Amino acid sequence: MKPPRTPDLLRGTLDMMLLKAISLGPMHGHGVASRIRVMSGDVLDAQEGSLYPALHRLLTRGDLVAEWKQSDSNRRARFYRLTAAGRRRLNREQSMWADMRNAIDCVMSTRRLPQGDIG
Amino acid sequence: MIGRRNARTEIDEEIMDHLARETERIAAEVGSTPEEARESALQRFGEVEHVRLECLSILRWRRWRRTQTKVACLLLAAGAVVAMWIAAQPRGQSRIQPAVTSAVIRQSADKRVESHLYRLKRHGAWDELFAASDDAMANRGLPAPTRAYAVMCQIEARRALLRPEQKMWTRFESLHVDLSQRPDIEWLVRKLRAGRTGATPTKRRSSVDITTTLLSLASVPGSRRGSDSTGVCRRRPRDSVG
Repeated sequence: MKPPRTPDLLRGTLDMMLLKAISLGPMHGHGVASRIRVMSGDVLDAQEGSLYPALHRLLTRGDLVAEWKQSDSNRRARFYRLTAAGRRRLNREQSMWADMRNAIDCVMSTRRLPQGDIG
Repeated sequence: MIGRRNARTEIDEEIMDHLARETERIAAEVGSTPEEARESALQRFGEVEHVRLECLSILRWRRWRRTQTKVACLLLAAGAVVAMWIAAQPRGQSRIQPAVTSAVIRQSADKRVESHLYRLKRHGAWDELFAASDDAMANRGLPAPTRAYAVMCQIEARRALLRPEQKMWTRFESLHVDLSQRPDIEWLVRKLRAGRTGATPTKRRSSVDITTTLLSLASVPGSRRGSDSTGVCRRRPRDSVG
């Protein structure tokens, strides 16, 4: 049996996806990973080994704030919330990502090079 | 130490909470025993110690940056308080204010002297430069760098005054030629001025021509006594030559 194919996250996209997942509402680390999995249709899986350092990095930058609260399962958890700076960063990174995606689409949809354009 | 222990405890607690939730999820989805679910959750998580250390290093850096910011703010506040205290002192009673004011005045005087010397040097006024640098060197109130600059200027003026072009110019000036009556030697004046100020003279006339012309001017009879038909007069024509 073949293992399920989970593509690696593109470098630099984890922060953007974390910000997006947290922008939907304050959430703890495990919930953020679950959100990303559900939002991507079980395709993307944020590895915990990189999830928590990334969350702490965003916390350090001031894009997130964290506070300890009781979760639904009556367990104490650290909830992350987006700040105004984090929302601005998310908007910026989203627009950059859109540009990048368009550029990659253009490259990948090219079937033949125009004559005399190269060299 | 307390902050560091708290941070470490918080990270440990967070990771433990994550592992507990993940264990519950795997147990519910796969239906395995809690031990197996815990094992697979740990496997999925990877190196717990590595993640903990990475998070701690990030937090440590954050704390260092906060300390830096606090120290910078404290220094700024201290500077502002000192500035306000100086400004609030009544005139003539503060020890710092007169010192600051006199330092400012002294510095502006130094700059004035230096710029004056520089201007004289640039315009090739070697006699004036020699005199001004002499005064500056004798002025004990000026700081050492300015006096050193004056020494350099004097050396340069001395060298320039001893240059053949300068000697020729001095000789020409001593002849008191009225240039309004001698348009034919305009080239000579131009050449001598160029040589005196250090500008590159034109190559059309050689130094032999200059010397010959000077000699011919000097050999005119009565050149030092009074004006005659050759345009050589007794009074120094400052307006036309200088």
